[in-house]
Amino acid sequence: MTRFRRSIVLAGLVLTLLLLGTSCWNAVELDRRALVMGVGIDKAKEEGKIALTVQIVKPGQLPTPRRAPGPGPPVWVVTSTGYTVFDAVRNFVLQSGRKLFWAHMVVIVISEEVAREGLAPVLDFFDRDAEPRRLSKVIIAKGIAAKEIMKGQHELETIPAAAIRDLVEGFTSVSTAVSVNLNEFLKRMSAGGVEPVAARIEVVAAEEREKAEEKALQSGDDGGMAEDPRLKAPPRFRVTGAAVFKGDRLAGWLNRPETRGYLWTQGKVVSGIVVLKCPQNEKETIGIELIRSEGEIKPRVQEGRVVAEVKVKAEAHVGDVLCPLDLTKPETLRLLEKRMNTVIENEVRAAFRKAQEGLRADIFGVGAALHRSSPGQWKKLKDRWDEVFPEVQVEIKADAKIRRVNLVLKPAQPK
Amino acid sequence: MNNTSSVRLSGRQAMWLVVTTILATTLIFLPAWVAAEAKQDAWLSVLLSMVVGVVTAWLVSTLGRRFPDLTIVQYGERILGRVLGKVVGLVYAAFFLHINTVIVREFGELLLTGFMPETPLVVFIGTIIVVAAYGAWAGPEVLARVNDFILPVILFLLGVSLFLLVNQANLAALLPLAEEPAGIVRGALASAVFFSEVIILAMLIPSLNLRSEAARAGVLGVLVAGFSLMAVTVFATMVFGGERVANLTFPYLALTRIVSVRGVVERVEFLALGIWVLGGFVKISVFYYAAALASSQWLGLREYRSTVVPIGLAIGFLSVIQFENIDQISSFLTTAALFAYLPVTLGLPALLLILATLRGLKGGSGTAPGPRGADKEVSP
Repeated sequence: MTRFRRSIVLAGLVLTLLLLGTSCWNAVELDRRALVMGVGIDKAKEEGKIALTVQIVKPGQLPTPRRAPGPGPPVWVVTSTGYTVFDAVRNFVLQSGRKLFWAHMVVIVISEEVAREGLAPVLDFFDRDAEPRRLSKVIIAKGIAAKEIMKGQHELETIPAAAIRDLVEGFTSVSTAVSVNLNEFLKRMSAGGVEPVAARIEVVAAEEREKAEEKALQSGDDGGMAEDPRLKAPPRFRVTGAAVFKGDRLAGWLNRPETRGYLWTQGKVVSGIVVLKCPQNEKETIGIELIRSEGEIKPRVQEGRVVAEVKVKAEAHVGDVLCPLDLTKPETLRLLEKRMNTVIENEVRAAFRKAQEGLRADIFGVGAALHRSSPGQWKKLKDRWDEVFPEVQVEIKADAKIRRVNLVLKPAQPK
Repeated sequence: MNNTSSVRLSGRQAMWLVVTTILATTLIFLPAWVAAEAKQDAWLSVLLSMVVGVVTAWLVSTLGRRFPDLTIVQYGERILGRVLGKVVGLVYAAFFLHINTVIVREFGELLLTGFMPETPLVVFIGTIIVVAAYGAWAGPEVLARVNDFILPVILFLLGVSLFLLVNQANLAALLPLAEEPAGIVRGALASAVFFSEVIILAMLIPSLNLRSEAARAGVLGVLVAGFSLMAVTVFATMVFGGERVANLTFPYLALTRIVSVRGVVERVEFLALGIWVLGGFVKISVFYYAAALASSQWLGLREYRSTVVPIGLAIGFLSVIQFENIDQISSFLTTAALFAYLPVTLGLPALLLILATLRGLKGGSGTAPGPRGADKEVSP
């Protein structure tokens, strides 16, 4: 080959690669993207349709170090309906003019009504599509439409969806709520011998609001409705407790102590406050701060019955003391530890009672643990695990250690 | 220094080429296909199916020691005679071509599904074939040198991506161990095809400067690739659970997408993309070279380069038309390929080795330069 021909071929190759190397085929510039931060899933009014409500970021309204935030809320909340989730997702284009971009979505809020009918159909899009991440939190809205949650605002965080994510992740400092992402939810849903849980979100002071609405309706005066301060304030939310699923259907809820009982068994209690009664005076209390915990479920089959041994280890500090208690004596701490064990055992027992009797859903993974430790036994039981689980006998062993009393030995007392 | 006409690879380079060839595209799919059969024991299946690779490597390198200057197409003809030998030669030429059509299609499918859903498949396939054609044209020595750079990068990216998942990995997900032996064997069969890719040694051995290192290169290559794949499988199981891995199209891509270290280190799927494109290039080029060499030797051409262009067109065309969708690829590779590929990679070499031993055949082509002279000249 002559040098000339060589260089022609080479130039052609380089040019082709340059053009293809940019991979501009479906490039969308950042200012043409519609970034979805959160999605709420409800049933639409129309039979058989799904309503999605999304929070889309308005970049111009976000504060930056160089610029004050623009007027108005930093997100655009918009609702679309469709026969499937993806149908509804595409229908957003009719209102937004651009395709939504899902890679930054942090929360998926699902109304109680949809959750009771099963989550598998509504979650498939978020699992299948290449844009959404499986790290998004799965949250169930109790007693309120997911749309309302999406409309909410937060005083500290500019983007409401990010605030909801923070609320969910904040569970670690109280351990009375759960944080579950899409991957964890789907993993538990498709595994045998364990049922999924999800975070629960509800409106604070919902009753107040309802009362005000009722009053406004009764008076029949629209102007009055707008003026009532209770209605003007955007709804505030809190994330507490947990939503319990059986398969992909919402079975019920755990309250706060039950949720911590559940978390103890999973070794997921990160921190939190345990309130104990004072030894001398039952009316006064002591706050103990948890700093570490471990939990383990060891099931075994004994005389044809499944026995689940739950072992919980916890370490704690004394957080505040509301009675004159002498913490310099070792037996005082031992007494507190004993009381703390009782609290832990009660919480775990409460969680099991709710799961076994009320919801009949093995959220603890007793079945999965049995599968791991004795696959032979599990094989015999797995097909009728739904009937076996409520009959599982639970043995709880709590072992709490109070390591430190913080900066004060005896509380200051008035003389 | 060597003159340019005699291509020489060191034993280590051959081993690295084997590693990249097995690892590159396989790691994206493998855990799902194995977990579909073996659930949480998928990694045991991978361990088991390495045996297939080791046996193939042993067969091919033993044959290579008997016929150090010949490829399997050439010594097939020596052993079986002209007519049968030509049939076997055609089988290998077709095999290398066909397996490459599958790899090229996989390559395009991942980029399409995972990253650029609106780009036509033909664009990815066309681009990689043009680049791989250059690689095949340049020959094994150049590919080996490129791979000397690429493989460390691949292993580094792989290691980093798995390390970032430690916080989400649940060791208990691997229990119970060896629950269903039949499932483990079925899983091993599903991944056997990938390890049998070490068959490319049958085309590379004449390019080695020390033919005696072929066995080591093959076996070590299979083991390094195998243990890397096992690590990916273990992590996929620990993060997603045995049941769910089986339902994921690209488990390794899913792994990189779920990385989250304190909400700071996230969205690292570029690691998967890097491995995929770098490794895919080497893998496709190696098989491309093997296909071009096999077909030119079968046709009795003096230069393998004259077949590079037609082979490329055939790969591109076939890879687009032979599968209608991605499910056909996975069902082909886990079922039909067992019957289509394994006889070629395992059965035929075994048969050739038995016949060669019985008939006491050995030796080079007579015209090609002997290996001994070259040995002294180039050593790594």
